[in-house]
Amino acid sequence: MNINPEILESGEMSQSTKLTAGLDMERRGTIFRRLMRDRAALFGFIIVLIFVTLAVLAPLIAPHNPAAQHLNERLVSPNLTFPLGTDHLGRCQLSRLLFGAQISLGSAIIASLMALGIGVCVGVLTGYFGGWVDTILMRIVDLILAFPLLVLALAITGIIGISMISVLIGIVSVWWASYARIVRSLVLSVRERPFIEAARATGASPFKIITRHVLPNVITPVIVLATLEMGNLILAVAGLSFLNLGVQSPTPEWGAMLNEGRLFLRRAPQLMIYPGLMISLTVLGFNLLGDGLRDALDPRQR
Amino acid sequence: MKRYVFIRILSIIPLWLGISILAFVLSNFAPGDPATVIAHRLFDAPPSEEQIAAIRREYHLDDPLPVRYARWLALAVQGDLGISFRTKEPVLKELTTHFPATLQIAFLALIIALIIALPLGVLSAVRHRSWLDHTARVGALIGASLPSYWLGYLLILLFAVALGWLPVAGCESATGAILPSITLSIGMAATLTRLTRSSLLEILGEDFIRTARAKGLAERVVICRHALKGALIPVLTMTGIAFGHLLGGAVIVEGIFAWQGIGFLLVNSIYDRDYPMIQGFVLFMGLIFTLLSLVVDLLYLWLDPRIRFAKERYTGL
Amino acid sequence: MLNYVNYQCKLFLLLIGLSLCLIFVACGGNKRTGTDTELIIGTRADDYVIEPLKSRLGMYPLNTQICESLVRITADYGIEPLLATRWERRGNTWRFFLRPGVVFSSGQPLTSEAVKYTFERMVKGDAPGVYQHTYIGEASIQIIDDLTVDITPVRENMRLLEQLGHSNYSIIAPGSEPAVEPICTGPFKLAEYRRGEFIAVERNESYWGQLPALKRLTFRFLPDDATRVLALEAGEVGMILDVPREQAAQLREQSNMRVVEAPVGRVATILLNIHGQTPYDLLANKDVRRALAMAIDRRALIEKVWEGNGEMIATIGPRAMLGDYASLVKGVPHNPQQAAQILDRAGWQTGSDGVRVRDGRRLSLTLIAWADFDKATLEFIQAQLAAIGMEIRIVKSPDTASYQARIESGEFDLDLEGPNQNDANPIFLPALRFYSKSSGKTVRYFAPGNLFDEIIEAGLVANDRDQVMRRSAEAQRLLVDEETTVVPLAGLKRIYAMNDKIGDFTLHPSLLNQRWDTISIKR
Repeated sequence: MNINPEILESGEMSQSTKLTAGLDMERRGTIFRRLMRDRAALFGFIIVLIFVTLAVLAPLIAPHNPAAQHLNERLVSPNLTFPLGTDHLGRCQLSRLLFGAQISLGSAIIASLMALGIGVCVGVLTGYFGGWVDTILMRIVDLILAFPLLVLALAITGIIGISMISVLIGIVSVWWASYARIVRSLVLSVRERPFIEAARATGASPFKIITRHVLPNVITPVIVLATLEMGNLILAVAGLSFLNLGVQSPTPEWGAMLNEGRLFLRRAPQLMIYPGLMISLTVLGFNLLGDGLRDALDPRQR
Repeated sequence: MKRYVFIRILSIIPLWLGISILAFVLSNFAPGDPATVIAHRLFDAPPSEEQIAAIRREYHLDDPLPVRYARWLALAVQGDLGISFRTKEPVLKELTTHFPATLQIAFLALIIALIIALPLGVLSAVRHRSWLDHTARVGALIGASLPSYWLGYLLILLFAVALGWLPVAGCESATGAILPSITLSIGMAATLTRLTRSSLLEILGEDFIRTARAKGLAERVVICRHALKGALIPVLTMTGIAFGHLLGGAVIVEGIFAWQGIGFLLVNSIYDRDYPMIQGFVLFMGLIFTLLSLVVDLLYLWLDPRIRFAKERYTGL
Repeated sequence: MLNYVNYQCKLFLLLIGLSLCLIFVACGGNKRTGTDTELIIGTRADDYVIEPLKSRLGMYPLNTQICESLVRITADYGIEPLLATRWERRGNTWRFFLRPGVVFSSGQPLTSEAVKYTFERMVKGDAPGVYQHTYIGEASIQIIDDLTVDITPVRENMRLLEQLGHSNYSIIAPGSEPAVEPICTGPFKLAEYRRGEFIAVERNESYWGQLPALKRLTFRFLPDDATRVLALEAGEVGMILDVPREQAAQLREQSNMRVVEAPVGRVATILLNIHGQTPYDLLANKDVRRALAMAIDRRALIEKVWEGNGEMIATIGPRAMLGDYASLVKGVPHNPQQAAQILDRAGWQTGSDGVRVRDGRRLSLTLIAWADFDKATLEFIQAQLAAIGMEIRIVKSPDTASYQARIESGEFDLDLEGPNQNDANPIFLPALRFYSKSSGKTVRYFAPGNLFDEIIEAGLVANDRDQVMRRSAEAQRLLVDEETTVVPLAGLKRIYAMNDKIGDFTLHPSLLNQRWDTISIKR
């Protein structure tokens, strides 16, 4: 779910204000404790942790080389040698899923970090300084947000060419906008606080004010936001790969594996089921975690 | 207030202009010399050097970028978005013939999502923390996590092949719209359920509700008469935005079901490097979405009296 | 409170009613299910060109038998009379005697005027192939009388007869424009065409030959392979063309389905870039080429990856094209150990990551392929070559335009293709792709050189078909066995699947020449 900036702007008590309000009243420790007590969020955290660990440890735990083709054992059901069976070229599904996690998760995380980086910079700049920089950048943001993100990312990727890099470029060049929007409104609400006024009165440079006072107050909600959006990013990366716009053979990737599994829908449905399941579980994990983080910041929301 | 509305409507124009620039610039990221690319697509046999040079002259590809943009824009405003490389038909014609199909499944998906989400969200909030609430929340979370491309094939497998109730694909049969719509609706139903629930919960916690309860009004009245209206406002606005996203998300779903909508058109255009089509698509959809968000904004304004007052004081956007 | 309940209910009923309405607004509207005189066939994407002067709607690339050529190509690549009953050749002039009593679907009789109109339109529209292959130019057609016409190509062309069987050269009615409506002499005539959805043809009751058993044929365009198969299973279509290999097996298992294969009509072939610029110059070396050919286990490809849907073949085209001379081409045996040895001897050492290196240069090759080769085949080749230390980078262009751009720029090493043999000219394929004086834009990467050119030239001017076949075989032997600039992988057989009510019919190796008029439906 894309957090809709329109709702934020239009007068309903701003979610961002709630988030920063929450920060005034609690310290980080309490938030963490509240998070841990939320079973759903904990569950989500564990799921995410498991998948990230699997992705990182893939080279160590995968039973086979994901590109190795065992042509005499094509499309076998799970057995001792191949715990999740093999695909149409006799490649071990489990190994491919594990290495695929590296690509699917890794790309989504990289895209998230890059989009966040750009989004936070732009959001802080426009929120704090305002003026014509604000107007121009926000118009660009409006422009990008005038589209469903996936469509624009698709168009950009399609034009640049087929590779994982272009998928990343396509996604990042579109996703930063929604982050920028929200960071900007967060910065705006923080800017009017008394302690910021005080800092300015003492003649501190804008750079110092931003790094010492604004950013720390904005970081936590941003993390929540990033977590909530991770699910969408994973779906987007897998979606573009599903459309054959992503990885190069023989690199495995969950979305691409879904596409390959299509043709064996009847004979070997597990080729479609496992990658889809992986994607769903990972996205679920991030959604649960993100929800939990958001609730932990504002206990009234439960 | 009137001034705000006026300004809001006017602000569409620079947005549209910006979208047109985006759409135009997009195709300039394409690799390769544009004249060669166009020549390849237009002629069936590999083009000669003279043909490529002729294309360069005809399309004024040597002119500076702003000039080319102005020319393209002038044509676009008159409805001439160029000719599709792939089908050799006018781009605008292709877009307008395929759009209704996407609208059809998007509307259907919206309705299905609302039918699921509204009752579920309301009941879930009302019976807070009950088993129904928990089930609904879990269901919504799962629904939001499923990739549509996966779900689509699973549904085909179940309903079309195993049960034979519904047709597999295509526009031919009357019931062909059902499966794509259901696939599209699930994600949105999930989001709307959660939003309805949280929005209603928030309103229920407000003071005026406590007052109403203290007055001794029946619970049902409290909820239906007072709480629901306020709670539905963010839901309605979210619906508007989400509908726009549905139109876009249909891209993948249309591919699976061979549904002749604009998403299907876009994907094929990307595969075929049909730049005029991609450009035209971005422009077309951009215009539609900005219109949609304008309508939603105005709707929101009209529905929630609080904002009307707030906006009066807040003239600097 | 009651007000509210009513309001809710009303809203709900409204929503449900609205959705029901939407469901039944079909976006196509035309629902037809086959009967016993109507057949719906599911095929691939709609590739018809509908530009005036260039259009071959109904003829190419999907031949719905609305139109006919002067001659027909039989299932074993022979020539038989169709609109021309006989022919003579004097020097470079071919004289055709047209069949009397044939009428176009518009009622006009078939005369030499139609032949002249057909070819002049092609020349005017600069239709590809008309000049490059046949050398037919503006003044080539001469009317002798109503039923006799002379064709004199601008340059010497001994292969004209075999070429004229191609549906591109179908005879259309004078004054007609296929982009508007194809008016021809075939067993079917156009009933309805909806771009991207279907093309429907109906029986031509005034056909000169045997009337088709079917009254109506509808070709539905279903580009997605999986969807096409599902449509057959659900009974929405009666037959599907180009069944993906993966699903042929599962369809065979179903008792109410019949799966048949056409004879080999084309060969999956890897063409090697032997004249590339750095870094695409590794294959100029014959050792590397030979090792590559030896490393690929073609039998495993056919039996395992393709599940038997292919045929071991050593030539680059169907064997029937070469007649008795097909055995001249032996093919390179599968021997990965020897391949490794060849590379070792040539100085290619295996590096730490398994890829061979020589003088600091990695043995890394770029593979491009036609869009209809699936990922699995490409990954198979990649893995086979990786086993002897060759690193293959697959550049998959799902669209023909960027593939075309890439191959013309020479930025590749290996090119996997499956060129169709759609006419009866035995030397067509070798001449088109490898003869240095051919007009093809990619010839410069594949042409072996003078020795090969001489064989081709001898074949092009040979009068006797037997001679042509021999030359073609010799040319292919040079390509495959001697120089190994080409690696034929396997013969491809088109797979058709249909429900069991469809009667038997002859399958043509070339889809373009497949006859639909002999199909019947059992009651």
